[in-house]
Amino acid sequence: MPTDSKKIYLPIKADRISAVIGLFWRNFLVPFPFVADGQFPEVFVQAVPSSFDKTSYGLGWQSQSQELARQLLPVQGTLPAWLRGRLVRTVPSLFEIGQTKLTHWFDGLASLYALEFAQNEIYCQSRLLASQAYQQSLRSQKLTTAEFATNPCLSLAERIQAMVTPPLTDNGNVNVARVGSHCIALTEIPKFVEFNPSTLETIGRLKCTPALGLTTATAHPHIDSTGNVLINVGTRLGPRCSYVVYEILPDARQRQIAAIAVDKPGYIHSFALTDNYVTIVESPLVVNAIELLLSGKPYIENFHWQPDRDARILIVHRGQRRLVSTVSVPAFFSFHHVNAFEQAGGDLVLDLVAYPDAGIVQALYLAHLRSNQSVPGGQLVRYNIKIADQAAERTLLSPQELELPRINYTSRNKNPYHQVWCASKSTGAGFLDQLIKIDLSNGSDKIWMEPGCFPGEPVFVGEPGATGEDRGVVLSLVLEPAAGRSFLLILDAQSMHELARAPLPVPVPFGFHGQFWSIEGEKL
Amino acid sequence: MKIKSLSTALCTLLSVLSLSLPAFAAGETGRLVVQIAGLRNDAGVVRVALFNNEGDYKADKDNVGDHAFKKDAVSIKDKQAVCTFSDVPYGDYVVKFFHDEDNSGKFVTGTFGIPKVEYGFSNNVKGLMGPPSYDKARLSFHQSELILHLNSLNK
Repeated sequence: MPTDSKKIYLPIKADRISAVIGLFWRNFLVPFPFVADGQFPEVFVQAVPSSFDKTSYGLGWQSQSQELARQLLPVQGTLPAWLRGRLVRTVPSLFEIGQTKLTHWFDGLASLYALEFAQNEIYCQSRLLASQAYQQSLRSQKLTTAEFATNPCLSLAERIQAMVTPPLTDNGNVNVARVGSHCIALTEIPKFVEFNPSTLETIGRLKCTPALGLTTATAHPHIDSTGNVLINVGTRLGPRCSYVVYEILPDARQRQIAAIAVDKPGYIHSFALTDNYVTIVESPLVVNAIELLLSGKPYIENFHWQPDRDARILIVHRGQRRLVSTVSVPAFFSFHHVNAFEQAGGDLVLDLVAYPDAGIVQALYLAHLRSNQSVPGGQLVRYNIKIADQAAERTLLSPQELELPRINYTSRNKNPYHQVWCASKSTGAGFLDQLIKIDLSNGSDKIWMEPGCFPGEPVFVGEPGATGEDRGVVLSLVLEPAAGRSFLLILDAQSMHELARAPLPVPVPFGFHGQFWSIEGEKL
Repeated sequence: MKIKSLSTALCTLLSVLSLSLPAFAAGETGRLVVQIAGLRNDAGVVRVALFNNEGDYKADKDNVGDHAFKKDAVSIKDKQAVCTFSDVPYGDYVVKFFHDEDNSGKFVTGTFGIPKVEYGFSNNVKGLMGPPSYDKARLSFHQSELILHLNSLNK
């Protein structure tokens, strides 16, 4: 029996006629297997969609419980000699727990994937994140924590207890970050799960003190220019709600920078940082805290799109520790900020990926994704903000539909910049199926595309010592459904030409974010 | 006088409009880079043809790209070939290529017209009893540079 994993072989013995037909069609239909030793060939059908199929990405939302032991990957192409370090990604990986079926992409229990670059070799490993959410769910064979869009299965007693202590998740499936020497997996609840970056073993909860009373916090903290302090934005939900700008020091101490009172908090996924300001975009996808407490509905279902409200850009002065400007702009929704920088005369430039409304949140429910319906892409837009005038002007920076933006963060975050890398959609594609580099100085774009492949977030890694903004590589985990696996793609960040790829033995579910970290001093 | 004022106003309006247009609207041609992987050896060349309409695509009966909008022959290194088409107007295209191992310039076929050479199309599609339809292989090109990674078939 042939062992090609791409195909399901049906146990039907073909007669001579079908064998002749197979010979005739072999070059135009699908490759026909010929079996040695006088056996009859077997008729087969392809179990996966053809590579042409622009909607074959459903495999990216199937549960993947297999953990990969550290292993050397075959590399096709040539790796830059300077590329040393580790790409760590967190991925929503389990979508069923016992009888509980999770409903949204953001709900999946996390796995960590590490791809280590050392001496022209790539090693890969993965482990499920042993968060409390995962461990409790595994024990009880049901979901026990409140995820983004799926409620836990609780007994009556547990429900009563949940009213006092809501079972908020620590399922760090959105991003990873470093607090001092601690590597943490983050979700949108400020419960950080620490892990060992070289083994991916879960260490446990990293307790940051003092508690600031936050209900949520973004999974996109910024790193201060010192490289040691994380700046983040959280939300206090209660009788009096507020947005809180705070910092986490290397020793896991937390300090509040500013708090902004708000009646109905918006859904905040990320924010922008400059030397003097923290910029928060509040879209009109807002929640009533009382409803959140009493409705019994999953977290995100308590947020409502209020199109009659404007979006607000809140600008907090880091030094003065207070809100200094609120700019109202026509309603839009955004997950991801790209960058922000200050200009002479008090202007602020803010770039983000925008959607006309919050329909994208609905589009990311698993039922929608797995039915291969189209998922809208965002638009790269710029707001030129006049802080003193509380006014902003919006410009479209690219006509492409895109998401998951990355920049040369080390040298360009908070500074004027020109290059953005994103995953984007080709014409007619249902989901992100190409990687794009946009040059903001002239609007030009370069796209890498392989039909039938679905790349994830492009992580820029700068070449050490190089001064050019785009001198380096872009790393992306690409799902190749026709091959039933993913591969790590290494592109030249400047030209977007492929330098190398390394196939993984399994398909990796679509994830959100990852970081490239140095492995100096570690023994590989 | 009126005409002068009108033309001044028109010029001003056009200037404002042109300034307000995003940069990406200015360029209407781009570069299409076709990267072909998975060839069985480095012998000969890969002949790549770019079609911009269905009629010319269908007319290319001998598969050598005589009716193509653009075509090129490129060398092979490490079983890969890269072909770059510059100044390609934005629009819809089909890419077609074959591996001409003996540099004969011919798309060699055998019994029943089955290709003996390695070949491929944009979208990595195959046809039934012949090349795929124009619609199946059509790609939309609307960017400054598209690096299209294709795989050789019929290895």
